[in-house]
Order: sequence, then C-alpha cells, then structure tokens
Amino acid sequence: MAGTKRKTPAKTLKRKDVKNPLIAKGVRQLSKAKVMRLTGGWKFIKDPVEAAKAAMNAPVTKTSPKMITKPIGGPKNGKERKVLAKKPRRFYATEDSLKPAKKSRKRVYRAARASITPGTVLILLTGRHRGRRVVYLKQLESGLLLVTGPYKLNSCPLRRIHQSFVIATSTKIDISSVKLPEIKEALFVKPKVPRSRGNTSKGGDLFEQKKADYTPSDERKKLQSDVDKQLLAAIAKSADGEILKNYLKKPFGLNSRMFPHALKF
Amino acid sequence: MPYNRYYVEIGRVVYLTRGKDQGKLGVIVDVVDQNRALVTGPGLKRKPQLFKHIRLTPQVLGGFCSGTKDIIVKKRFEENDVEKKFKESLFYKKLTARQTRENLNDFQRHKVLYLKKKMNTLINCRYGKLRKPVRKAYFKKLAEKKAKIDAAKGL
Repeated sequence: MAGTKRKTPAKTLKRKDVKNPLIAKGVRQLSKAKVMRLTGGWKFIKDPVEAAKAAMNAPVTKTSPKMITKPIGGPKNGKERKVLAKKPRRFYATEDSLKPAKKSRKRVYRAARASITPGTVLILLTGRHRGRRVVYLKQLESGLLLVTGPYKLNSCPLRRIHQSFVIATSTKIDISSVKLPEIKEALFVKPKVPRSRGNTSKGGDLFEQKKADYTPSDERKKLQSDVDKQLLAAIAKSADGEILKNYLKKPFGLNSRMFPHALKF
Repeated sequence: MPYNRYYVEIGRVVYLTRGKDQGKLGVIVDVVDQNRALVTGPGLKRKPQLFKHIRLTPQVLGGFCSGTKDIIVKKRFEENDVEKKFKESLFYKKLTARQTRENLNDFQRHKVLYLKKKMNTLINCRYGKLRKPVRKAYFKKLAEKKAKIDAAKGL
C-alpha cells in the first residue's frame, strides 16, 4: 500500500538465521529486498552519489607501472624497448594438478560425557589394547582421556584415548586417594623422526634401515609404577577388591546370546 | 514327570508378556477367535489380547461362565490367591531370575562368572577327595584280579 510506512523489524537478524528455502529451481521464498529488510542489510548500502564523491576525493594511490623501458644493446635494436614489468609465467600446466586437501578440522576440546568420571572403568574399543578394561584417570588438555590398566593387571600403560572409542561402564573406583603427578599431553607425543627415503646416492640403504623398537624411558617407567601402586591400593580398598582386580585383568568379550545393544554396562 | 498341557479355556489365568500391561496377570473370560481372547483382571482393562502376547499359567479359576463381569472375576481372583500362587510358581522364579540377569552390569556379570568358577573348584576339589579312596580301592581290586588270572595262566 502506498503511503504506509513499511514495518522494519525491531531487531535485525543475522543472514544465516534468515530461512530462505528454495521453492523451485532458482526461486527463493523471500525476495532480495525482504531478506535485506530482515537482516538490516540496507544500513550498509552506500548512497551512489556519495560513493562517487568519495571516490573522486580519495587520495590517488601510486600503482607500479605495467610496462617499463629497458635499454637494449646492439646497433639495430632501437636502443630501448618497452617490456612488461612483471614477466609472464614461463610454464603453464596443461593438466590441473591435485592440491592436497586442506586440513579443515581443528582439534576441539570436548568435555567427557557424564558417564565418564575419574575412576570409571572403561572398555577400550580400538587400538592395540582393544577389549581391555581400564581405569579412567582424568581428561587431558586436548580433551583426550587419560587411562591406565593399571599396567600391572592388564599391561595397559598410561595412555590417551578419545572418548568415542570407549564404553563407559557403571563401575566406578574411588580414586580420590590417588595423587596423580602432573601429566601433560606432550608426554605422549612421540618425537618425529624425519623419514629417510633410503636413497642410495645419499649413502642410505633401503633395506638396512630398521625401525627402532619403542622402549619406555626410566622416567616413564617410574611414573607408571607410581600410578599403579596408588591405583592398586585404591582398588584393594574398594568393596569386592579381589574380584575387581580379576575383572580388570580379564578383557571384555561377547558370548553367544549376548547382544551389545541390550547389555547394560 | 508327565508334561501338563495348559489349555486356552474360560477361567485360565494368563501372564501378559507384551504391551502396556506387560507383567500383569489376567483371566481369560472369552475366546474371540483363534488369535485373540478376552482378558480381564484386577488392574487390567478388559480387552481382547493376542495369544502371542500372553502366557498360560497352570492356574484355572472355576465358577464362572463366558463373559463374566469384571467384579466377579476380581472376586474370584482374590478368593483363590492367584497372585500369591503365581509368585510361588517355578515360572515366576525363572522370570525374575532372567530379569535380574538382564539388569546386571558388566562388573556384576563378571562377578557371577568369578564366583561360579570358585564354587565349581570347591565342589570339584571336594568331589576329588571323596573319589580318590574309592578309585584307589577299585584299581587295587582290578590289579589283584589280573594277578590272579596271570597266575592261573602261568600254571
């Protein structure tokens, strides 16, 4: 209706919050103007006259010249010649080369789910220790869970694991008496060894190189035994300590007529 | 032991295994067709139930005809101590055992396994101890018998 003032929404929305589904191919439900009104986009549109004026008054920025004159030797060459300031590329690929995909995922700290609290017995689902029942100690700064067997019971050392690769059982051990030394993420990061390609011209041999076996440092061993000692004491103190010990020793497995979706953990 | 077959009949006490009234007891009041029976009982809505969704129990209530009113069914139900008798039955014991089994957590399941193993070793040890002198005597007897036969052959 002419003459009536258009209603502008009291609160403008963000562009992503405005739902504007496709009705047909290339036809949206809302017009451009409508979207602009909702999002308050009109505020940012410049007056064309003002914009032109501003452009006139803008200070002239110096741009480097495209062509330059270069002196040239030789009697018949005209002494100088205009040359492109920036040399064109010498090589144009005939085929598109594949670029490695960008790593768009960031590691995000995710708080452990409610069923995972310090002292919870977890069942590991992946990795070389899969199936083992381990004790959850704490969450590291990256959001990974710090767990241990204890090592003495099921040979699962202090380890990091993501919470989605774990079944949380309802069994909890009171580990308030366990005083954990400061354990940082960096402890678990293996030093990167530059990969040698076994290039014989550089003196390397393809077959001679052997991967060095991992051996824990004395410091690590001490840390493990320290945690184990306290944890075992905590386990022994809890009700059914003897059975609990045996429980942690034995890996989890399914028998016939055991359906994981129907089981209670 | 002869196998007692339970029949679908008016007055048969049934255990409901499915639906909203799962786990309740009712009485068959009428048979609708070969798939359904009219079931009612205290705390139950009178409605046809599929035979697939009920289990027949050994109890049968007498004294009423087909389509008996709820009030009478309830009265008979209480007179006969149906609930009490059901709870003493083997079926109920098995049922509760199964339910407790299903509700065990991972550790409790392990505990059952662990204690069973322990119990079996104790039983086997005791059994072995009892068996040992008996076996010993038996083998001794055998050896004597053999010696006798050998001696006879030698003659």
